[in-house]
Amino acid sequence: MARKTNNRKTALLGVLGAQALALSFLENIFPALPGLPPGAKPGFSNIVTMFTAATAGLGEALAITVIKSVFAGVTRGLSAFIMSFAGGILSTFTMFFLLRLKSSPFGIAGVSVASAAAHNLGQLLAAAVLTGTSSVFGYAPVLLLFAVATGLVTGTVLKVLMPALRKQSRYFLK
Amino acid sequence: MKTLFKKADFLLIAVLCLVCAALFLPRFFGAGKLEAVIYCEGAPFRRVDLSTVKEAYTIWLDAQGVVLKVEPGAIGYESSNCPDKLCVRTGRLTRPGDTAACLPSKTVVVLEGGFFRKGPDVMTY
Repeated sequence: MARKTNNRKTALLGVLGAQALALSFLENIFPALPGLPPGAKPGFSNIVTMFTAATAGLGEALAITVIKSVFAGVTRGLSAFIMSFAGGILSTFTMFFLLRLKSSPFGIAGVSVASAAAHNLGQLLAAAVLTGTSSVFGYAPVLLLFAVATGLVTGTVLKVLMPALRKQSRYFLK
Repeated sequence: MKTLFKKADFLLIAVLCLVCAALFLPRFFGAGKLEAVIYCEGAPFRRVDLSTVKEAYTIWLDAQGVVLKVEPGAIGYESSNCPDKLCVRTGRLTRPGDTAACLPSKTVVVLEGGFFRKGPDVMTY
């Protein structure tokens, strides 16, 4: 019986992982937005990661992050993998921590904005290590402003999609 | 995990916007000398004073597979061997603090000047 539940959980995680990949793929085919460093993306797949962190757990959310990074690595090369991994891990830990706070002062929007900012910070740190210079932090102000905007958008979308995503989970776990 | 906005959310967003504004402001006071610093593998490789450039020219970084274009008051990646070309798509850098990075080739170009005129800030490992 326990085994059956485990299989169902694995299947659900597979579907969530696929959804995260589909969203990552989607935002890669958009052209770069003017005024932003190219490579700055809205982070729609964070919708799935956040839902997973909130309803399943840290391990599951991290698994999705790793799948996303591997996808980035396979399609866009090693530095894309490192960037995706560094940003993803930091943002997943941030959202999980904020979601688990007792009587959290943050709503979905706040958690989303904080995790978007954490994602960018992780990427800047990775870029600093990759290039060997802290000068990449020149990107910081633009990225931070962009994180606030995209965090608000993904947070709102998650709020809207929540019933549908919960329904999907129930389909697998019931 | 039900409400979209709580009080702390607005506070967080306000703080982030303030930090952002504080980081942005110095870029609008970059009068005087405008110097491009080209970093290769973490070390400053070459400095170009963009305010004295009269005619456009190119810099070839053969080992990195990168070509930079220098213009009066501007610099940018012209071409690169990297897979994603994010560096080329960054376009021309014109203000102090502007940054373009090419991760696969481990090169970074930063404009210094005004508030951003400082010594070498190289991380060593």
